[in-house]
Amino acid sequence: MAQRAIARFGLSLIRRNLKPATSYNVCKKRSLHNTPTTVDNSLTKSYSYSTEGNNPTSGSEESASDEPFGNDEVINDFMKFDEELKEKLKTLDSVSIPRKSDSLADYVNSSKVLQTLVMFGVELYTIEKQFKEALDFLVKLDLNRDVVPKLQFLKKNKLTPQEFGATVTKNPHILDPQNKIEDFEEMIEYLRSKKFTSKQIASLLVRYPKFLTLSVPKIDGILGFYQKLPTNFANTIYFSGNQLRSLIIRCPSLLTADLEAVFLNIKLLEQSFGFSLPQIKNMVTIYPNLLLLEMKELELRCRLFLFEMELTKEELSQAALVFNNRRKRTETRHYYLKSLGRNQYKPDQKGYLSMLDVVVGTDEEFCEKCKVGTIEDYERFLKTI
Amino acid sequence: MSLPVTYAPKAFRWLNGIFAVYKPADVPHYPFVSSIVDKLVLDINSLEQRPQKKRVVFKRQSEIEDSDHPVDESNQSHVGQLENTLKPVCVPDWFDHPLVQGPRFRHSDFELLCGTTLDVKACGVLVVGLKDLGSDLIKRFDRAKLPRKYLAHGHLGLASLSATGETKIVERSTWQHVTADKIARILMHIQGTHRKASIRQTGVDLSTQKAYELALEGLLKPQQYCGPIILDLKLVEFKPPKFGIEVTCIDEACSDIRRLIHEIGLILKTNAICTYVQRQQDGPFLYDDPNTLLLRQINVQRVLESMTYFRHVLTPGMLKRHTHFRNETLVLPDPVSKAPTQTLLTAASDTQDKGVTTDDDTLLEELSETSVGG
Repeated sequence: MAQRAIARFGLSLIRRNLKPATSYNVCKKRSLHNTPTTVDNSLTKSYSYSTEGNNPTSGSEESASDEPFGNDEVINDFMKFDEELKEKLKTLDSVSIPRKSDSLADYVNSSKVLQTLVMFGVELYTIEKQFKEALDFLVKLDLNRDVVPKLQFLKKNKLTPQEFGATVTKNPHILDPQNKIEDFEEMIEYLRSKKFTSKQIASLLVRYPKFLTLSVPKIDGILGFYQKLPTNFANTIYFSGNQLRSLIIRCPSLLTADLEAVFLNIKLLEQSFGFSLPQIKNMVTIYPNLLLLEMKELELRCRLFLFEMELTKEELSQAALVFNNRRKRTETRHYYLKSLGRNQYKPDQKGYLSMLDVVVGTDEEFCEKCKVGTIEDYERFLKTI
Repeated sequence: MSLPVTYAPKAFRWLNGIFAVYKPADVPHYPFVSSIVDKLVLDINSLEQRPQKKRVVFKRQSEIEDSDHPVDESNQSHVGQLENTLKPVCVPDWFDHPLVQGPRFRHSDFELLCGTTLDVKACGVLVVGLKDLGSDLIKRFDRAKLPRKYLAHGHLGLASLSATGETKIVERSTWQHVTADKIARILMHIQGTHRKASIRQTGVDLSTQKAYELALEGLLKPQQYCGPIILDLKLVEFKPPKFGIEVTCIDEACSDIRRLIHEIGLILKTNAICTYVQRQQDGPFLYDDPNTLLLRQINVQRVLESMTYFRHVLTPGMLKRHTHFRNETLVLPDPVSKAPTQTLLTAASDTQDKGVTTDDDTLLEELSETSVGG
């Protein structure tokens, strides 16, 4: 019933165009404005109701004008025309996609791959900020060909599906079709050959997935550098296998750090402040992130501990976790203790406060552990400084 | 204690106004102000956000899922509906998903405008305004020129390049002859000259009744910038060589206070450097107040509470544009230049008769030419 109605409507359109083509009666070519980019150009041609070209009954004008519902051929041609459009509509999305854009948000509504990634928990906004090169291939991914095998590979290496999102945000290059699974397996085999246990490798995968896309010979060189850390005056610090492995596991960003900056930090500790080599080794094993600090910041923190708080180098090297907290916080806490006369950091003396109690933790914990009063007293002091 | 705000867009709409913050020393101004905004942004992103937006999509009857809402529920005609007809349906918009867009509020959503800024080395109250209403109030607050109170510590016997302890010390001198009495007398002298000069700088005819009434209310202040005006000076502590003074002033910056301490040292025939400057009061905003927030106390709830508190503290007449000079013919003296070679004393006493000069003034002029701060 409705098909007949459509056919009637279509025929009426054709009938209009079957009138003799006089100069005042020519229909202009009409094409769709603002066509979406995924539509083929062949469609636009079929939309144009011109007197030339697609008109099927240009020859038999008289018969069409006499019988409105007659010609089965006309109806069939029109229905075929409609079917082509219906098939295209199934694949076509109702959203027009820009050809070029800075963000993945423009493509999320029309791409199933990006929608599955979002459902896993991948943060697309961080990828836009940090990995701009990765946007290119992420839009063109294919679910079954690219994404699924890699997720299966990650699952094989003891990664739960809840952790997929976090790993992909930290390193979207995992999903790059150019980085193949064989390369990842080569990297993991290399680490196994260096006696990293499978538990350690799994923890690395979760916390630092960037190592999968690094090149093996480069990592070999970097591990060799850390095993025999050069210091100033052509001395070296040697780490045993176990020590090096624990270093890397606790601070994996050492692998992609600037080696010159690391060298300069050690040079600062040895030459400017005069720490001995075993002391430096102790500090690095306790708190390896020390090497990643900026040189100026490390210098200012050392000055605070050695000259203001009057710690010895031996004490500081054993309490190296103290470098973790922000310098301004430790400074204000030290001045507060000084104003109360309770800044006693030597273990022999009375009223001894260990550095970890003073420096580590929030201000409320500091007030409780050191028994220095309430947080309101501390805030009242902060308003004078 | 009011009920806490839990809906983020509501909190964002209400975070509009003026409040005070305590700035610690050794922190530059701009990083401090942007860290206030960062804290607010972190806090507001942790509250409940607006729901994800939806978009309308045309789907066939077979493809519609249970989670999709039809757009038109009232006009559902069942005549002539086939499997292939398209229906409009509301579907969650992936474009607006929080993992795609990121946190709903960003640093650039908040505008924080400050009144007069504090140095790196100075600490104290900093009046701050958030967004439209806040910036408007800050501008009016600046124009009102309410008096400010500072606490400054000085150290006798040293003179440095910038009148602080940071730069190179250029001179040393003895200070044992200085007593609290001498300092107090000098402070009274300075205070007197500044007050007289400010009254003279307004340009009002001082023999009228109106001038007397305005002077009673304390509104006899110059309308243009005439250099810093010191309303009140007091010696608070004196433990030689260190001393502390409280300065109440208008139109002053922290560098002017350091210059003041340097000049007090010169008048006492020694030198002095400034070791500590704290702005204790800025109009009605006090540093003691629990509503002036430290950086560690800043979150959405406390900022809203302090804004409501200070809205009551700022009485309606305080920020109003005063119109009492509108119909007056002001006879203004020569405008005082902002050149740093002039000392605070000579700037204030410029309007005095040039014929009468005391020994102190000539000494000061000589010293001001050779002083390294100028």
